[in-house]
Amino acid sequence: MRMVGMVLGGLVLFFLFITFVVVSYGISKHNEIVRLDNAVAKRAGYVNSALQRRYDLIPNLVATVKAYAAHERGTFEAVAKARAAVGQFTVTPQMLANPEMLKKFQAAQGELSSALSRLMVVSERYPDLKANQNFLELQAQLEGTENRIKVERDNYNTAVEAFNNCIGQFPGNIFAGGRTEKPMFQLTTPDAQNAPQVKF
Amino acid sequence: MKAAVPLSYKPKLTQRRRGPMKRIAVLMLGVMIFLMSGCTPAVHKDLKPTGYVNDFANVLSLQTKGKLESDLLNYKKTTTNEVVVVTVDSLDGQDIADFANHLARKWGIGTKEKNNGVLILVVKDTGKRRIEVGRGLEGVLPDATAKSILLETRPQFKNRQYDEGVSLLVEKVVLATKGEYKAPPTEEQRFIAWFISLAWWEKVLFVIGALILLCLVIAALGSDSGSAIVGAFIGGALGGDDSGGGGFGGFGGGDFGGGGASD
Repeated sequence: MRMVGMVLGGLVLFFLFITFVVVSYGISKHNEIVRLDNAVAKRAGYVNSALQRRYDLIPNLVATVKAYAAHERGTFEAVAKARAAVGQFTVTPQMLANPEMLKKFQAAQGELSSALSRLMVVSERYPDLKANQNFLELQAQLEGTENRIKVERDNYNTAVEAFNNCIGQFPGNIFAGGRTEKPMFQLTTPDAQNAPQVKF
Repeated sequence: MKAAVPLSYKPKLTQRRRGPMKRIAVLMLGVMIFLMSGCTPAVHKDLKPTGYVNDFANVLSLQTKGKLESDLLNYKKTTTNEVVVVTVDSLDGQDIADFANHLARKWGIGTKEKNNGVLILVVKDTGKRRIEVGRGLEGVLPDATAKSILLETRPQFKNRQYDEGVSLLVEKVVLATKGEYKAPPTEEQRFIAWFISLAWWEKVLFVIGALILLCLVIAALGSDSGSAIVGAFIGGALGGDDSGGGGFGGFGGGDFGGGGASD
C-alpha cells in the first residue's frame, strides 16, 4: 500500500510539474505573440505617417508646378483624383490586416505614385520651374518621402513576417488565440520587381 | 573478350554503391544551403565600423582622416550626435538609398533614445553621395537641406577632391545638426554651475572650508601614516579616471526611417 501511495504521489507531482511547464511556456509564447502583434501595429503607424507626409506635400507641390506650367491640366487632374482616392481610406492596423482592403489601398497608393511621377516628368520641360528654389526643395522632399514609404513598408513586412512565423509554426499556433496571419505589402509598380537585391 | 566484361562491370558496381550516398550528400548540401539562405536574406560583404571615418575606398588622406575623426568624436562628446563618414568603391548596382539605410541601421548610428545619427556615404565609382539622416535629426536636417548640402559640394566630388568634399560635407552637416541635442554636463561643469548658484556668503564659507581641508591635508602629509592615507586617496581619484583604449566600441543603436537625400 505504501509503495502504491508513493508511486501515485510521484505521478501527481510529475503531472503537476508538466502542467506547470506547459502553462508557463504557453504564457510566455502568448506574450511573445502579443508583443509581435503590437510591433506590427507600431510599424503600421510608421507606414501611415510616411504616407500622410506625401499626402500633405502634394498641394504645395502642385501649386508650385502650376505657377510655371499652368496648361498641363490633365496631369494636375490626375494627381488631384489619385490624392482624393487615397484620402478615402482611413489607415488603421485593422485595415492593413484585411487582405482585400489592403489590396485596394495599395492600388490607390500606386495610382498616386504614378500620377506624381508623371507630374515630375512634366516639370522637366520647364527650365524656369526646375531652377525655382521652392520647387527644388519640394522635389527633394518628395524623393525623401517616397524613400521613407519604401523603408517603412519594408519594416512593416518584416514585422508581419515575424508575427506570421510565430503564430503559424507549431507551438505558437496553439496559443495564437484566434489571431490570423496578416497580409504584407506587395510590389505594385512593375519596375519595383527589377530592383537590385539589398546587400552590403 | 571475357576480360572486357569485368572491366566494364567494375565502374558500374562502384557507381551503384556510391550513387545513393552521393545523392544523400547532395540532398544534405541542398538542405543546408536552403536552411542557410533562410537565415541570411542576402549575401553580403560585412562592413565593420572602424570609427567615425570609414574610408573603405581609400580616397582620403591620412591627415584629413585624422582631423575628421577627432572632430567627429568631439562633436559626439558635446552633442551626443553621431555623424559617420563611409566611402566605398562600388555598390555593385544597388540603390544608394537602400544601401545607406541598411548600413546605418545595422551599425546603429546615433543614440537609441534620440536616434540622432547621420551617415555620409560616398561611392567612388559612380560619384554618388548620400546623406542618410536618423529619425531624431530629420527636423533640423530635412531632406531639402540635405539635398542642398549635396549640391553645394558637387564640384569637389566632380573633380575627385575627396578630402575637400568630405570635409565640407561634414562641416555643413555638423552646422545643421549642432543645436538639436546637448550632452549631459560633466562633473566639472555640474560643480561650476552649482558653485555659481550659491549665495555670496555660501561661496565664502565653501572657500574657507576648502582651505581648512587643504591645511589638514598638508599637516597630514607631515606625518608618515597621514601621508600614506592622503596618497591612497589621491591615487584612487587619479586611477578612477583612466579610460581603456583599444578597438572601436561601436555606435549607440539609433534608428533610421529613410530620411535624407542623394545626389
